[in-house]
Amino acid sequence: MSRVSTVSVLLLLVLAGALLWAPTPAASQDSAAITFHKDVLPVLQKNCQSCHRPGQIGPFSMLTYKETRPWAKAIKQAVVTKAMPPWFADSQYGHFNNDRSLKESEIATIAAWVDRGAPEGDPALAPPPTEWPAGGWQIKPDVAFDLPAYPVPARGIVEWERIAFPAPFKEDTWVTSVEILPGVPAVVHHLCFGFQKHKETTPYNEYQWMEVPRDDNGNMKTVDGTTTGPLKGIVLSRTIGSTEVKRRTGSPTVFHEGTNEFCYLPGLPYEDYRPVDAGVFVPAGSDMIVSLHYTATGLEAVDRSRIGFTVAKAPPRKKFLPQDGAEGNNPPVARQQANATLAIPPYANNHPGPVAEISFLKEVELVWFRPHAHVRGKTVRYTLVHPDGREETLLYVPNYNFNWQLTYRTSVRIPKNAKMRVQFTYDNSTTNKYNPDPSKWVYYGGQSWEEMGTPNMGFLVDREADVNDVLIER
Amino acid sequence: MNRLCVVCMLVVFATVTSRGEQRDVRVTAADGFSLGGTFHSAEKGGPGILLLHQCNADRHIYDQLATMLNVAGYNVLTFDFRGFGGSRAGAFMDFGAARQSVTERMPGDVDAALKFLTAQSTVNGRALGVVGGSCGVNQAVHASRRHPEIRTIVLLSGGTDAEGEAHIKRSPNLPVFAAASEEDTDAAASIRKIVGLSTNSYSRVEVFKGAGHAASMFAKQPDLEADIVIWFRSNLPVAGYGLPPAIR
Repeated sequence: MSRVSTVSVLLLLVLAGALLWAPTPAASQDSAAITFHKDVLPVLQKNCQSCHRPGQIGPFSMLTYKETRPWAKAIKQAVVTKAMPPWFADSQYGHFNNDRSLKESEIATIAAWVDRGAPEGDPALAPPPTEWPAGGWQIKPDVAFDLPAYPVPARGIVEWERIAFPAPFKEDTWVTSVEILPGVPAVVHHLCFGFQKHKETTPYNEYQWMEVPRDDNGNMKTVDGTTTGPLKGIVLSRTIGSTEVKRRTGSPTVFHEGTNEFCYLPGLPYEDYRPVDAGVFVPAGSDMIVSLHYTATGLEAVDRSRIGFTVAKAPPRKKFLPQDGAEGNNPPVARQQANATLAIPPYANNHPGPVAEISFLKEVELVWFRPHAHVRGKTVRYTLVHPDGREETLLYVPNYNFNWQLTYRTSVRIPKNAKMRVQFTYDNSTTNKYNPDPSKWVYYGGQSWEEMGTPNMGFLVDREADVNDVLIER
Repeated sequence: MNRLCVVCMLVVFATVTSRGEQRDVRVTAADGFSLGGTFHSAEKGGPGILLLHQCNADRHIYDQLATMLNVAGYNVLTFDFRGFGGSRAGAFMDFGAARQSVTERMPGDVDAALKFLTAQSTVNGRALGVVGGSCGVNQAVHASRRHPEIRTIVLLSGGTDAEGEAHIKRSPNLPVFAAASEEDTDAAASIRKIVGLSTNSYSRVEVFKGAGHAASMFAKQPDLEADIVIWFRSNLPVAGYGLPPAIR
């Protein structure tokens, strides 16, 4: 065979091979189709990696293909059923600017990627890695405050405790975002705090709590005809690092007279008022009053929680005004605890709690809801009753989940003389997998085996506005 | 994806994200026999999970699952039944030759392993789970009968006896996740029966095709290990809120 012929044969073979191995239209579409780096990673970066990265609450990391691939089917299942990302608001009502739900197109992308064998694709097509703040933070704090180590016993009842510290700011400060990092999330039921002017009677570095009479099941006994905890009675205290508990009769001297401005709750991400140009004003010389609720899980733990703040360089335009399950009766929120009458029968699977009614004495901008109940919480509905009597559901959570106590951010102008009605329902049946004992009556109380139904809302007012007499709750 | 690729990928996954401490341990049975095991401790403390291997493999068949569970926040103990892997000595050099005496000692050895697991400082002894494969299925079911601290069980390709079935039937608070492969006829029928008997509304069964037997299914069903981890996260929460309060 001549040299030309040999080359011709080789060319023919190459051509034949190329034709033989050329992709069909469908295969071509597949090869150019959805891959991890090009299509899926951007979705994960935007919606998932804040929790699914080392050191966060997610059970596995989604930072890389190698970390993500073994979970492909589980990821598809979670997004198709909308179990993840966690978001519980009924989409029929309200509009929420922090809605974590994936778009239908994003769900379709992930589902198609998994169905096609979860291909990796070309790493060169991947977006740049997201740069997460160091130290496990999601905000980049300007100021960080370490709470003292707190030993949580393996068993027993740990009542709510309060402790005061000088606020970690030397001058008048506008706090614009806060993140609380629980040291041992398993034992932290809540960690909330607010600021108030220092009083000479307020001791620093001393835990204080009230003795709460309880029955053998740990339920709070009735006091003066109600089941709410006493604010007068036996005050217990100990200093940081000491196990010696002191007892005295009277009222606590570590007590926040307003509302808690910031909280860690299970599943609650950080609070950030920067997008709405708002903040919480902390005058120089304020105290930070921290409310701690630890839960014994069966395993001793030492919690070392941290609080991070961003602060404004210039005063923001708006002032943030919280309404939570405040303990006091002082402005801006006057509260009467509707939950005091809560009584959930054994095995009830849809028990309606008492309705909380909040009257608005001034026009305000409502910016978030953060409903709070415990493990028997089932649903919650916020209904705005306009001054003309018209009723409007602003938020309905059909599947409340204690482990995901989300903030639902919105922007709703609440007219003067409107009312907000808030109602929780409770599931005390055997079908509630988190129910510790369906055979028991359940009453209001601070422990997770007792119940609550706290509306928790946040408002914005002008920076210089008088926050007295804005709303009243019954 | 071929099996080699899956194995390579999982090995890399393990090295990339593993964050707990892993160490080989010796578990002393009631009669003094020493069982070989591997303990993965959870960094921040949490529930404990015991993995019981099938009788045609040793504890290392769970190496990848143990790592994934550990990364997800669990303490994990794997150990070799007598006559397997690191538990070969004396009269128990080979399982095949001592099958009856090994089987008779399995419940006691499982209890010894649970005792070891709950004695570790990072383990919440009132929040336990067990995975059992094949001959380990009956042991897992009976362990949950003897130890109410076992909140959920995962069963791979196996059955249980009448006493075990009765226990499943009268345990509405015990969610069961079971899996087998269709052509593994007896095993598939057995796990279907167990889940059918369960009175827990969350119990579920997964039946594959051509996947093999017990933990060997992981090679052909690489998503099964992830499913097991997700199952535990749903039914044995690491945060502790899904547990009854530890008042006493």
